[in-house]
Amino acid sequence: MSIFLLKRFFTFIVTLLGASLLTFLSLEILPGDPARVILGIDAPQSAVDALRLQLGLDRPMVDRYFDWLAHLLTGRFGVSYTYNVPVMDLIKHRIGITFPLAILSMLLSVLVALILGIYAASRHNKIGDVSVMGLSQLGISIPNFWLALLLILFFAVNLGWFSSGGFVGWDKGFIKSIQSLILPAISLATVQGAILARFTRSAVLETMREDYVRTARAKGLTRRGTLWKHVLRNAMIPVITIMGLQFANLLAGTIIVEEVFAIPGLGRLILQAISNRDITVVRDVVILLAALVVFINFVVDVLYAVIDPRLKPQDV
Amino acid sequence: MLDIKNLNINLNTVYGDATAVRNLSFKLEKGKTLGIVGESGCGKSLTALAVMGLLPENSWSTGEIIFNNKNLLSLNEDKLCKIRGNSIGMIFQEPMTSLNPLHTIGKQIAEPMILHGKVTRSMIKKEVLNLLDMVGIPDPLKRISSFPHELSGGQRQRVMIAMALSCKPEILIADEPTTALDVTIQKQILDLIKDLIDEFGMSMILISHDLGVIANNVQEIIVMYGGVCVEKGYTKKLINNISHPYSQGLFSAIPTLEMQEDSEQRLKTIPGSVPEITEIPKGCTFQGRCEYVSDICVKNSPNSVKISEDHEAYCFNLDKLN
Amino acid sequence: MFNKKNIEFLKRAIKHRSFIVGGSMTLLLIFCAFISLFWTPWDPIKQNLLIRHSPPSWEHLLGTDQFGRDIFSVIMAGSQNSISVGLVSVSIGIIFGVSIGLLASTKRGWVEELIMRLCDFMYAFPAILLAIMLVATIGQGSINAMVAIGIFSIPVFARLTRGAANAIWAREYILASRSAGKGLFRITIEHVLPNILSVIIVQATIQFALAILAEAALSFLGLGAQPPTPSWGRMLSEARSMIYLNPWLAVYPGIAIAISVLGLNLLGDGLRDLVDPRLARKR
Repeated sequence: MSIFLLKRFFTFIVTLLGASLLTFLSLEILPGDPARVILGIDAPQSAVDALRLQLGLDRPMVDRYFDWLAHLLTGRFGVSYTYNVPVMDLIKHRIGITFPLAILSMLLSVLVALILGIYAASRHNKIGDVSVMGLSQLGISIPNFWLALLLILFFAVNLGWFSSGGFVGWDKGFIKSIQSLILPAISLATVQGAILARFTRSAVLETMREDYVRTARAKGLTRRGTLWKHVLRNAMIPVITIMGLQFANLLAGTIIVEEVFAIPGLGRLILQAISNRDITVVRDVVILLAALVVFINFVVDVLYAVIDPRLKPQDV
Repeated sequence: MLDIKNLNINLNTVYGDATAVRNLSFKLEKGKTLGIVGESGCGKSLTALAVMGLLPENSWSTGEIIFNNKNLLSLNEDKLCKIRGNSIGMIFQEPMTSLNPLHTIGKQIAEPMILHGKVTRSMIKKEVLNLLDMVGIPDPLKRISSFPHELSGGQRQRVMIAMALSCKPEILIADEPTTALDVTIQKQILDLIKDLIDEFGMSMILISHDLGVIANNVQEIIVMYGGVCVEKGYTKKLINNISHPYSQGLFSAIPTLEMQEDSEQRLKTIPGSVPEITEIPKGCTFQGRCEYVSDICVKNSPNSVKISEDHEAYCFNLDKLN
Repeated sequence: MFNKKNIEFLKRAIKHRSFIVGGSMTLLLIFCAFISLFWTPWDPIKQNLLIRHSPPSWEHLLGTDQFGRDIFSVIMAGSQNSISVGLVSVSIGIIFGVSIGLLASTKRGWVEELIMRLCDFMYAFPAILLAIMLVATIGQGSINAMVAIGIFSIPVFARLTRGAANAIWAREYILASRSAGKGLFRITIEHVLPNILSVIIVQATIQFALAILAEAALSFLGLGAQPPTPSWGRMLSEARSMIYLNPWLAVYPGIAIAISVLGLNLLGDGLRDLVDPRLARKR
């Protein structure tokens, strides 16, 4: 493994630890005693104390943090106070909805963004470029949850093509499931795609100014040939970075879009858990999402090394 | 073979339109070498790019560039693509950035040959190895799969040369091929280019700001200033009788070994600097920096004055000079 | 004030399309918020159940909502909320972010390294997720939402400042001031800060837009502005249950958000072109 990847792996681990610390601490400053919150104001103090003991809240913070970490590492998540089931059980079903939703919108946004971005760059300063850029400027300015509402209004309420929310469940078949995810995915993908399209365009334009592109033209390659053979792969390096960073936004976006479409995914779980003060669930789901994001960024770094030979191990 | 007639190159800048090259004409015969010398911004690189049809987006050219009885300026893009890299090859100034960092050098050298159908797929590797060997890259078998960042500057320029010569073009254009390299490497690269030119019987346009480099490597010289030719001629004749005040300035700015012995003699510099292309004056372009400037230089552009057979200069005051 | 450089700048600004369009839209937003402080066509808070869900008319330009409030008035009043969120969170981001960035750039060494790694970390973490968590734990409400959004714009400003400041530190005249014996702090205040100001202003415009979007999202989830404070995000959230009954409720506040964000984004892009002529020329 090259030094680059080793360094990245180290960063990956450190970021994960940082994320866990941040998550843990931000929930520790929560005002009020969780045990009291769960049992209600009228519960006798003895019952509250008993629950505190059961939850391990009487132990010092540092101990609880390392306990939690150890549990996470061994894959044993906590038990939800409110649902009274292991968090793992809650996550298991929901991740099968949220993750496909995130992937679907990522695919959509990347597909549209690359096509539009490359098209705009190749028509630089012409009408095609200007209209794509205007469109993307609009896309960036629209809140994703409002777009979600508009999509519901148009496709579900007016046209009746899709249901206005909910998720049919994978057991109803692949097509039906994707159908109930397509509107949420579009509302998530639009903003991300608009940002990515602008970025792709400027990355392609920047690369087109490179000396080696002129060299390629001097070899006799056509404009189009140069674009495909020399520009795109080089331009993809910065674009992939942005894609990695966007994944974080996309996952966060699922929280709000799942809420709009009433999709029973991780996002809704987290919102419900927050309003129920179900710390165990919030903590475990947040760290799961964070780990996913950090992992994706690590994968992006590995992709770098695949694309860019300058980062490959030097033959010594 | 290459005949450039009244070439004008115009640029569109934020400060307005400007003419970067004005009424440039020259001929390049088969197997001959020609050098264009001048300070940066004098239009020499743009001239080279105009021949390739690769001028930047904000510029356009008028006049004629006749290559093998075809006017390159009136050819469409497809036809130009068949000429570029095939009949006219080009080497650029920056070997560091002129190679694609993501492709192996073998792939990059093979690209023009495949593109112009010069070799069959099965022969390609052998051909690339030959080229690498020819330009003096040690251990070609290993280097063929190297990436540009693994090579030194001099080696990268050798790769560029291999690439430009891979299709055995009729003309090689070398735009400041050694400027970015260490002084010790410069001569090696120039010698290599010269040897290969001779070996293949190619013509060459060598572009440099260094009159010394030009004088040692080409048969005919064009001195450019402010987008126009100020003096041209066969190398020997021109060097022995440098006539235009600008050329004289260029030549006396080259340090020689004898100077150190004679402390009285100092390295001469040309006062002032090259005008911005939007501020090139009417009349003689060199008027602002010329010590012999007179009224007529400001009013009119000087015509060609024949100094001897195959040597001419564009100046009103040649008699005063000598 | 009106030296040659400024006039030149103004001349280019007037011709710059996205600067003018974005600037006008932003002015419209500010104007709306300002007017609504004193006057709105109807009281944006007072309910009148007799005229619930009335269609657009001369009296009620955009109709009324489920409580009989004039939608146009509520939207006007909502602009106050969006503007204050932008102002507060961008101020937090600038005050802390710029200081941290300048610190990193002045101190260099491990301080810079540590600060930059922390910023990287904040970048890689889903910011909105943390903002949601933070607001949920310290309590819902406008102020908390503003603070949470502000905190997450700190790394953006810190990174930007550090990068721009490092470029200034590398310049010759800074070297000259240093050799003349000026202290680091004085150089930072006298030379570095004025030179990076334009970059920060451009970013502030963009962050302002992002803050409006983020606050709308938090309010939509019920974590931002609480009733009865008029807020575009909450209007949209309330419109959800009315989507069959009165679909227009879900349209107008979104348009208001989109116009504000679009205006600020265009303004930011325009400013970027104007303060960096090198980039403008490339176009």
